[in-house]
Amino acid sequence: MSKVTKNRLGTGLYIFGALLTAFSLIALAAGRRGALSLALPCIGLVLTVLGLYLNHSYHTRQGTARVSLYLLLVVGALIMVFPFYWMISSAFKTSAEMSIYPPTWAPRNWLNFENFRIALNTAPFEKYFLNSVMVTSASVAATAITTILAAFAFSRLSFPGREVIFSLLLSMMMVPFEMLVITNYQTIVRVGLNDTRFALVIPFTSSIFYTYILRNFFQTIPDGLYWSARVDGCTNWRYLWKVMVPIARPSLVTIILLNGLASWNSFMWPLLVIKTDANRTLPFGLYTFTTEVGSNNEQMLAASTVVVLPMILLFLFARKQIINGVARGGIKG
Amino acid sequence: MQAGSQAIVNRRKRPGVRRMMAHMAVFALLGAALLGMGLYGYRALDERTAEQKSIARVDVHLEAASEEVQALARAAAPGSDGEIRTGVDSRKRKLKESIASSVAQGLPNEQIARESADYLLGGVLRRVSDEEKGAAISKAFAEGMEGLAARIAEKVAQAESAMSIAKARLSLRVTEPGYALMYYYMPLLAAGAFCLLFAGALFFLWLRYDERKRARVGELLEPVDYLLPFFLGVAIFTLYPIVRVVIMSFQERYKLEGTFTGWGFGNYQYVIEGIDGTTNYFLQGLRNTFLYVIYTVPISTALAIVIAYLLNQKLRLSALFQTAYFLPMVTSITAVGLVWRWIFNRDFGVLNALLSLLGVDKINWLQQASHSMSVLVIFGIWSALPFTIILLLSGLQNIDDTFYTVAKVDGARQMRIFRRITLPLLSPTIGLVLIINSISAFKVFTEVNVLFNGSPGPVSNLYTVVYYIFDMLREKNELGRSAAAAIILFVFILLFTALQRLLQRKWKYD
Repeated sequence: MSKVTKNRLGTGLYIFGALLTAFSLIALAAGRRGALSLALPCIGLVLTVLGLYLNHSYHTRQGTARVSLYLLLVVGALIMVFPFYWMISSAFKTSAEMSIYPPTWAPRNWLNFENFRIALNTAPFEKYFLNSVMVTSASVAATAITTILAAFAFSRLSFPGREVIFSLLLSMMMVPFEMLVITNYQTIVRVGLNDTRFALVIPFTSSIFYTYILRNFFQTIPDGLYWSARVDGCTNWRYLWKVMVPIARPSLVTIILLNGLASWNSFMWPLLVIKTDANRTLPFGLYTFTTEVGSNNEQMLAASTVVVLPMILLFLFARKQIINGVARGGIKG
Repeated sequence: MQAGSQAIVNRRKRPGVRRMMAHMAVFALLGAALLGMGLYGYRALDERTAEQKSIARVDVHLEAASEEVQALARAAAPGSDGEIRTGVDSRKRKLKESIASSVAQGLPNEQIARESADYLLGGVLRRVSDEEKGAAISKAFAEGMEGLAARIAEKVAQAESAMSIAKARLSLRVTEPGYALMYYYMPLLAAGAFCLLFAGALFFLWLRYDERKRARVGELLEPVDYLLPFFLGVAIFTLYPIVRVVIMSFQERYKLEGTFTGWGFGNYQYVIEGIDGTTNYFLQGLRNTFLYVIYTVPISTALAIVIAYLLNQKLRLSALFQTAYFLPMVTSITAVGLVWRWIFNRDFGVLNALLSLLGVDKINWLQQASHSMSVLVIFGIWSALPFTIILLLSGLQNIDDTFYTVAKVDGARQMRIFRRITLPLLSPTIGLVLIINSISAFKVFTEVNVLFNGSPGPVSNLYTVVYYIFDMLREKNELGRSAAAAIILFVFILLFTALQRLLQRKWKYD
């Protein structure tokens, strides 16, 4: 046996062995007790050890590490993406195909748009979509403006108690929204905005968290820039919009993306304040479509595909910004 | 020369001066508007109070008169209770109308009481068949009429004085037009007065100061302009709720309408002790939430460390891998939750199909109470992973490459490098991730809602704290209890954060 074949064999063996061990252990954990399920992990372990023994030279170890790295990553990626694949593929299945067991991996006809047609006709998803767009863009725009102004004041202007006020604001960030919701619900009801789309925007026009992020960025802009602009007769207002905002564009994009995602996906607040069908946003509309209409699974999945698709597209195009934003912001989108 | 420069200054005022003028104008207008709204609300509420007073007056008149007349007649003619009652009852409806019209005319209470007693007496006399008894009743009334009328009038006066503007405010219905103005007349008046005072103070300074000092004041006002829109939102929707929820948690059985039964710890007591003999859903929710945190946070963090470590290697197709791993982060839980429901389906779900390859029988993931926590945890881990990986990955990328180079030169093995360099340098990020993830896991709500079709688990066995808060708030209209539960949640989050900070510090210096 040549060295290369031996190594290949070894690599294959130990990967196979490891997978076998893993799956049989899962089966064991899931409650299957029997001679075979006890024997399988043992066999897997033996194979793994044998495979590892067969390729133990330095070079192959590097190669194996490389292969197993990709293998692990691919398996993990498949698990992460699988629900999306399953959602989309099931959306194209007929109800007869949905009740095949074990399930088929792909629909017979990838162009079967029947479920989409039924789902979109049963509930006004285009209305939900429009509501989501309106609510999200309104609250994002309002938040961006209040955030820019406040971050400027907290980073550039000086006034008594600035730092104290800011640290008080930061400590208020600890309070979970779930606690504020109680009074905010009451306020919205009292002001008579219950069950309107305004109710989805007005409580979310200013955010301490985004102000904090933007202020941190504004503080990195050198003072010299400001003073030379002031000497040239530039007002604070002009300086903010002509100098600071353009410099801070990456940060602003981050804030807008995070805020947009949070607003688009928000669920609890609409569930609380919205009752009329015509005022629902997409996630909430989808939810009521499944709980109240009690539709078939394939139609449900078609509807959720429609809801998820814009987000997937957005992610594909703004992947870097979103990832950077989340990494910098440290909150969930 | 002097006059010329003065003219230039007058023509082009300094920006600070203009700002001061604008502030005066805007705050004066705003104050006037707010004050006007508050006054309108107050007057509307006052009218409403008077209206309710007269309604209450009619009711009390009617009740008191029929009670007193019956009592007097019974005392005068024992043994004919039934006849007396029907006699009174037969005239009640008509009496109500006549009292209402006399109240509307503004007649004094005693007169109305006398008239209604007379009227009821007539009814009683018509029904009482025994002539002797009838005569006795008439006689008793002739003697006791003055006292009777006085007693009725006193009762009415008492009821009237109990009806205050504060009570009328709480009895308002939310759907009434102008509700907000009536309900919030006090804050409106206060805010209006504040704005007017502010404008007045500025005007006072304007009169006293010269141009230079006015400009200085205007400059001091600049931050106010930048912060005002932000602070309006924060004050109304963050600061006020924090204070209000704490107060509300001590107002027993506080409802949406603003009514409550008294001050005390009743809400907390109810939340913690529940009702005897029934399941205490708050404690159940607390237990479930803790279990959820304990399961999901360590598992997802451990998995994320491994994946982030792998993703941090030099990779081909790293964009593809990133997309795959981070996709669940942007998609709404409501949408992907539906797929997971389908994956967990007992009869046609892909998970059971995969498990059956290993010889496992079909598991009823979604309908069997013993499995619902695992379903929630699996879904929770899957949806928490992307965010966790991103944070850890950026933590890994912040580690200086020279550490690795030196270690490699010294011939350290991969595993050793990971344990001795990567993990310690990553520990601050890991600590951060643990804190953020457990805080968000403490608030688990949407996942439960979506996976179990809008109910807390198949047999109400999967309440979480936030689910309980939401349930109390929306379904049960018990804002006070909901607030108490929310504050307990907040305390737990604070404790958890503090604990993790402590552990993290210890770990770091070890």
